[in-house]
Amino acid sequence: MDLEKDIMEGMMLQYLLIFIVVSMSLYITMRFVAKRIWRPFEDTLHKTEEFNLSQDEVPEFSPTDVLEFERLNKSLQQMMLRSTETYRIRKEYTENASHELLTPLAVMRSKLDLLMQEELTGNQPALVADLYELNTKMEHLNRNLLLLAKIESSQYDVNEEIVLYDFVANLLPSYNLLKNSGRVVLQVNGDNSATIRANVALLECMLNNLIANALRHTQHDDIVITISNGTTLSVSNHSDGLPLKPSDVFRRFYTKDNKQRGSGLGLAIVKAICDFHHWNVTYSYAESCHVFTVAIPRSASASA
Amino acid sequence: MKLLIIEDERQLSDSIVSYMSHEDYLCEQAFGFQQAKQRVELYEYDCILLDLMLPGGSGLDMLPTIKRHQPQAGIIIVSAKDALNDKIEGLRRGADDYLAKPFHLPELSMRIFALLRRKCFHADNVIRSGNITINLPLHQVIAGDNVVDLTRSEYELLLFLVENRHRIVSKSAVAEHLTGDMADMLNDYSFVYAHIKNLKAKLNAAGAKDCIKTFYGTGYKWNVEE
Repeated sequence: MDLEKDIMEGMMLQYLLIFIVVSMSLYITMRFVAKRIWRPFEDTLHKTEEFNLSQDEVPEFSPTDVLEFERLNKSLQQMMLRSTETYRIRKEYTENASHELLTPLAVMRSKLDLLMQEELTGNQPALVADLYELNTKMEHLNRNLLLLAKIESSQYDVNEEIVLYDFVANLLPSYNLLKNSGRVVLQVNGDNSATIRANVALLECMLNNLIANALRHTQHDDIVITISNGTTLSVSNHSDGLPLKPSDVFRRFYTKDNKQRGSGLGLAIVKAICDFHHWNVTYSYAESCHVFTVAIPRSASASA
Repeated sequence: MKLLIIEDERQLSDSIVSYMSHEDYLCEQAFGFQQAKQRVELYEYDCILLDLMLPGGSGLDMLPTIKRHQPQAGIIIVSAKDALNDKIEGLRRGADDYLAKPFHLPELSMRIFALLRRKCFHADNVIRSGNITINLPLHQVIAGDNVVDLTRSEYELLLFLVENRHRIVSKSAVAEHLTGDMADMLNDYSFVYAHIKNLKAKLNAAGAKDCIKTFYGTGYKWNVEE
């Protein structure tokens, strides 16, 4: 009958309408209300993901009415505070230890300088020479440890703007002083007038370490410093040896063999300086050459 | 010449005195802040070596006192190697030179000589040894009648040896003198040997024979009789 049909249609329509309204309400609730409820949790999650132990800053979590979130925030914060504190104490300890070692090492060096003046006979000169060398090694190691500790605790600032090419060119003669055969050469791809922002003392230290490292692995071949696009720096040297492991090469005290040891911290220092400046440093091996590349961004004010 | 060594580490201070006490240097020592202050106020010195890492007060605070009581004295400040702030602040407060610890005694003595030369207005600008004359302002070296043509680093090396003439200087001291901070990162000082060899050859060719004696394994000495 028509009435039945009408009623059926009417009911279906109503069900449909109710369904639509309920769906929309559910949707609106889920989207806005639930989002508001979970916002503090999102915030906490985000801040936890961003947390970096070496940055020494513990995030402030926004207060919330939800008890469980408040508990979560409190324990996360405590945990972060404790680990940051432990980390800081460890770094201070390394720095203090190195500092304490300075004086006995200085005394030892001065006494060796005096001992050398004596009339030495038989085995004595060789023994004194060995002692001297060992003392020098200890001093280098200590000094490098101190430097690493200072860089990692950010006791420096990025305060100067320089033209990278000029900076490197000025250092070139002093590097050539150290090479008995072969040369240290500087090549440029692209423009050589770009400026970068850096802590100049650390930049020089980084370059010194890269060159010292290259010197250690090259006897007669040239060491080539290349500057590309104004600000990407790479140092490469030919080598008869095997390629190094890219994942390990910047770790402290990594050596592929025990023969040519420096203090083992040279490349770790390079990495620390790059990390400090937020520069990317990579190692690659191509055509029998070890290549270390540092990607430095141009400083913003260079508009030429 | 009177030297005051303000250094709290007694053994280091004694070593410095031992090394510097020849020719005409009189050395006095102070081991702490108060003692240093007293000496500076009472006596006169030509050169003062100031350790910034003193107990009982930062060495930097000593500088105004020294400048007030000893305006004629040259001041060399000593501090840990990476203490850049100390260096900048010290030089700003009137120190004349800065030396990083640990240092080689020959390096210290060279700095003291250089400082005293600068401070003495009627100074000798020429150093003589045997038949060799070094003209400092011109960076020129003459052996007998011949000008010796030296590179910058060969010249520095010659000066280093001559100014430490009664002493054997180690290869390490030479390396650090020639390359500064870079020496820390090198484990091979063979470039020193190359420089010494070149210098010897040039001096020999100019008629100044056997000026430099090599002590195998330990170091080098300026070997000219005065």
